Parts: sequence; C-alpha cells; structure tokens
Amino acid sequence: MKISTKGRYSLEVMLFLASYGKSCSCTTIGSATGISAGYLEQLMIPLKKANLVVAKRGVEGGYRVSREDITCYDVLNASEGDCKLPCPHCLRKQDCATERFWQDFQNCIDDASKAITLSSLALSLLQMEKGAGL
Amino acid sequence: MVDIASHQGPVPLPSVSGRQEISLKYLQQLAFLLCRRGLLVSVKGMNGGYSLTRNKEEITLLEILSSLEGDLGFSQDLPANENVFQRCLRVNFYEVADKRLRALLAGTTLSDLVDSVAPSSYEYDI
Repeated sequence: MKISTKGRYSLEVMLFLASYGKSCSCTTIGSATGISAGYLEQLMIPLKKANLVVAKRGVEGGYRVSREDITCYDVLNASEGDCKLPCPHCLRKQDCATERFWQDFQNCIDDASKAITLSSLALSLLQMEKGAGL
Repeated sequence: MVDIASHQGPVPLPSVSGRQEISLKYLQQLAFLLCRRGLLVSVKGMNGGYSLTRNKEEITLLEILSSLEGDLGFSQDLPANENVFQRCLRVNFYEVADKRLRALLAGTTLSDLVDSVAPSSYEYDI
C-alpha cells in the first residue's frame, strides 16, 4: 500500500507552505519543491476544495495554509480521496477473510497519518536545516 | 493462502481458482513465489496440490506479502536525490508508518484470517 505520487507531492507542498508561514506564489513553491507550476495548480484544486489552503489574489497574494492543525491525514484524504483499500468495490466482501484485515491495515495508516501535523513536521524541518548548518 | 489453509490435504490450484475467482495462470505465479519462500510445498501425483509447510498459526502476513511484493511499505519508490521536504516526510512520516505496518503484518497470522470468517465461505467447491 503506497501513497500515490500525487499524495506525496501534496504533502511536500503543504509542508513547504506550513514552514514558509506566509502567502506565496506557485513559482516560489515550485522553486523550493521542484514541482512544476502547472502541476502545482492541479495539486491545489483538491487542497483548496478541502479548505486546507487559502488562495489570495493581488500583490501579496498566493497560497497559504488555512489553519495550524492540519494533519498528514487531512492532506492525503483531500488529494487521494476515499478509495484506498485494495478491493473497495469487491462483490465478495461479505465472505472475505482478508477484508477485515485490510480495514485494519488502512486504519493503521490512517492513525499514523492523523498523528502527524504539518506544524510538527515544519519544526523538524527547521531542526534538520539547523543541523545541516543551512 | 487462506484458501489452502482452510482445507485438509494438498489443494489443487484449479480448485482455488474456482473458489477464489482468480486466474489459474496468476495463481501459478503466486504459488511459485510462495514455494520459493518456503511457505508452500507442491505435492505431485493423483491427490496432489499445494500444502502449507507450517501450521497456519505460525505463518505471518509479513512473510506471505513480503515474498510477493517486496516490502509493501511507503519507503520504496522514493526519489534518489531527495530534497529537504522529502527527507523530512520520510524520516517523520513514511518510516514511522512503515514500522507500524510491519508490526501489524508480523503480528497477524494466517489463522487470524482463516478464523475470521464462517467455515462455509472457503470450504465449498464450485
């Protein structure tokens, strides 16, 4: 069970925004994360829809995180949607011995991602950068 | 594996294919990998098929899945030259989640799965 590329990039973007602190353009985000501006616009759509980012027009406009307590779960849920289990539409679900296990598996991932906030990651980021003498 | 564990004696793949609605060809590939890993053994002859090499209580999902898909974790497929954001996520999220998933897989046995459904689901033949 892997996180999709879309999910990973969304996390990187959100982490950057959380650590940047103020509104910034896709160009700025792109320079920092290495993600193209065009793809960034696409990534922003579900993040905006889920109210995780706020977009502002004008000179000091751009994107910023909408609130302090956003978790990795919030970001992944917005960018990847609901169908994460191997067999969500399986007709044999009722009789399946493995279905319950995959639920537990998904819950394990969800619990791990709900426990990590962007702010805590941003803090770690700062410590990593300090440690590297940047 | 659940299907084989739910039956007595060697289980022929065509019967698994019928019950689980998985193509025989694909099952053959899986059986090969599971045999190579030492989880299944092939019994030749008239009443032949595949059998577990150990009790179902002794086979973990970690052993089964890792013999098929490598590691099943988040830490695979990561870019070679990671930037600082990717590194931060890897160390604080992906690797943490991986550990928890591995623990779950290591702590779940084949018998946990087999015992979680009514016997009739796996024992009847089409």
